[in-house]
Amino acid sequence: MVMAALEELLSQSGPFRADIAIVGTTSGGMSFGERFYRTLRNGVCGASWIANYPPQKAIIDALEKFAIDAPVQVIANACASGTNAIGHAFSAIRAGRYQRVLTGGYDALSELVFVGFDCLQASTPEKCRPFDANRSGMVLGEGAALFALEDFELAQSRGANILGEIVGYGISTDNHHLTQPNPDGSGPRSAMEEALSSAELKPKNIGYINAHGTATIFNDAAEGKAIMEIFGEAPISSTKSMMGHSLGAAGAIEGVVTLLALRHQFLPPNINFSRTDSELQLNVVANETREAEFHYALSNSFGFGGTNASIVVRKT
Amino acid sequence: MSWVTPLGSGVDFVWQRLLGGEQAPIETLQSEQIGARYLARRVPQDAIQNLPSHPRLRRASAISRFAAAAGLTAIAEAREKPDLSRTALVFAISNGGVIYTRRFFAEIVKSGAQSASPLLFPETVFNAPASHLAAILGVRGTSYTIVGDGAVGILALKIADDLLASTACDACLVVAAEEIDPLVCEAYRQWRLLRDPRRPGSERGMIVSEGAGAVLLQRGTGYYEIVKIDAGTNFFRRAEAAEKLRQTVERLGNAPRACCVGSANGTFVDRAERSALGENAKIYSPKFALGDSIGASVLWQLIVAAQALRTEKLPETPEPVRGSRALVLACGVNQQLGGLALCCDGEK
Repeated sequence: MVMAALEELLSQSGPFRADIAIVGTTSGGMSFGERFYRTLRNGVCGASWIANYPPQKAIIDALEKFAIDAPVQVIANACASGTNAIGHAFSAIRAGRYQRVLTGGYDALSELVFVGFDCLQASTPEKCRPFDANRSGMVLGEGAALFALEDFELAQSRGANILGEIVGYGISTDNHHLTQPNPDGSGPRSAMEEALSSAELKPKNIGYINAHGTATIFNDAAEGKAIMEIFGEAPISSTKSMMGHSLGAAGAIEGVVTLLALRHQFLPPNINFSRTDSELQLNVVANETREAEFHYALSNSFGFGGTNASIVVRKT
Repeated sequence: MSWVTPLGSGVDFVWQRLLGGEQAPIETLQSEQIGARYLARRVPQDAIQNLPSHPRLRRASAISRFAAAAGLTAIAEAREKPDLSRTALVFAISNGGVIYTRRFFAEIVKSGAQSASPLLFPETVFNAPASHLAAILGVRGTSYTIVGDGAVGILALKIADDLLASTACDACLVVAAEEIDPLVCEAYRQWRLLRDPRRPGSERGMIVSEGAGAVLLQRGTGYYEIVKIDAGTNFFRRAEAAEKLRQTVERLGNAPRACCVGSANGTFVDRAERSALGENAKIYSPKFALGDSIGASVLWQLIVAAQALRTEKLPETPEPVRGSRALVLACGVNQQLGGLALCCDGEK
């Protein structure tokens, strides 16, 4: 998945020599670790499985395939990892530490993670219905998404095909509980406010919010409350309703969705939405795509450990 | 700065033991599945006896306890107390909470998905130890968990350095931690990296260990200064490690150095470092006395380098350490490497 994403990126970016790769993942090569454990349990050596277990392995292999010589920083901040990676890459470029960063996230399904979310009753036995009154949990997904992030002026000067501009990033840590957000929404609110401040924007400037929206009772309640308080009626959707929750890849994949929404001026739908939650008076882009004119969008990712991340993207 | 090691905790306490030529005791662990034996250096119970009680640590794994002990001590002993509302946390690990991860998955394999423990699963996530420490300290801003191999500490310090260059924070607590489990030992054994359990006195092969290290980085207030961090690059084959390390040494500069604290652990890393620095270079690796704590090892190396500059002594080295600059080199066993230059300019 990482190789496919990198191949597509390089086909679009033109000459791009990354100073560093900053990527996010939640469980890395966990499925290989599982096979290692199972073969070991059967008394068999599973060296070939464990070789692919280290979380950095997938991106290092992809860099080798495309002859990219860059150090790799892997951020493992649970389900916020992808957005954290993009956000930190943005901040480091803004601070003048790097000029070009390969960034994004990846995760593959594994039995451990699947059973883990199920035992927490965070997975739904039916459809994923973010922000719906009848929401009952997430559907897991997998994937990879990568960005060639570059100093804006540098990209302009080389005539790069600039798809969009990241203009803000916010991160916060919610110490309420290892797996549950503070119900008052303070964690997500803090990340979104910081992202707006970093972008020097007001809430009214945001024309679309790609929500974390896992469709769990607790996440959507806390995130929805924070969005209502800051943004009022800004249109929101969780594209996890269509693509599942790809954990460490989610923020990167949803970053791509947000970018496409800006470029093509549409609001991606939040499918499977049938009944408004009386506690959440949100402008959900229910079930069907809407056309819209907007210049800025915000994408959220939150994760276990109380980590919250938001980025603001500008149409170019 | 602070560490929790198989030789105990407390920077000066462990340092004196290292200077005295002590090595941490070696224990033998055994695989439940195949009966294989592994040598390991473990943290003694009394090394974390002063850990305050906190609800977050009630069910937390050893790695979180080590990290909490090191992180809290580093903050408590800082010359200038940081404003925790403006302090970021950067956490480095390699295998993470592997004890609970193995227990969680073993139960699934043995008894089926219905037996999975909702208490264990959250602790399997790589950033669980960082989350506990953030909650204990009250860190509400930036917290990153960086995962990688034995060089991950360099990458974490680089992130901390980048954060301090921005407006994101005024201080950054960098913590690195690791815990031992036979499953991890088996992985390294299958990669042919471990010391033969029948020859504990040999210098071939690594002995895994556990513990934590923590350093508090602040802008312009320190006795020590990390003057340059090179996040290195990846070596795609082990044979490339020496040349890539040499490039790292070159990028760190040619200024005279008082000492070099390396990451030799009895594997291919030893030859790579020796080749990168030259046959006559003095390199000290704490891994032969403390074991290889993988994710935590760079922070231990950094503390050793700082202590060497301050005390003008280095274990296993009869001559005094002269100079104000030390190199820390890290070559992991899973393709990552890097290094940093540390200076000591304060009053002694």
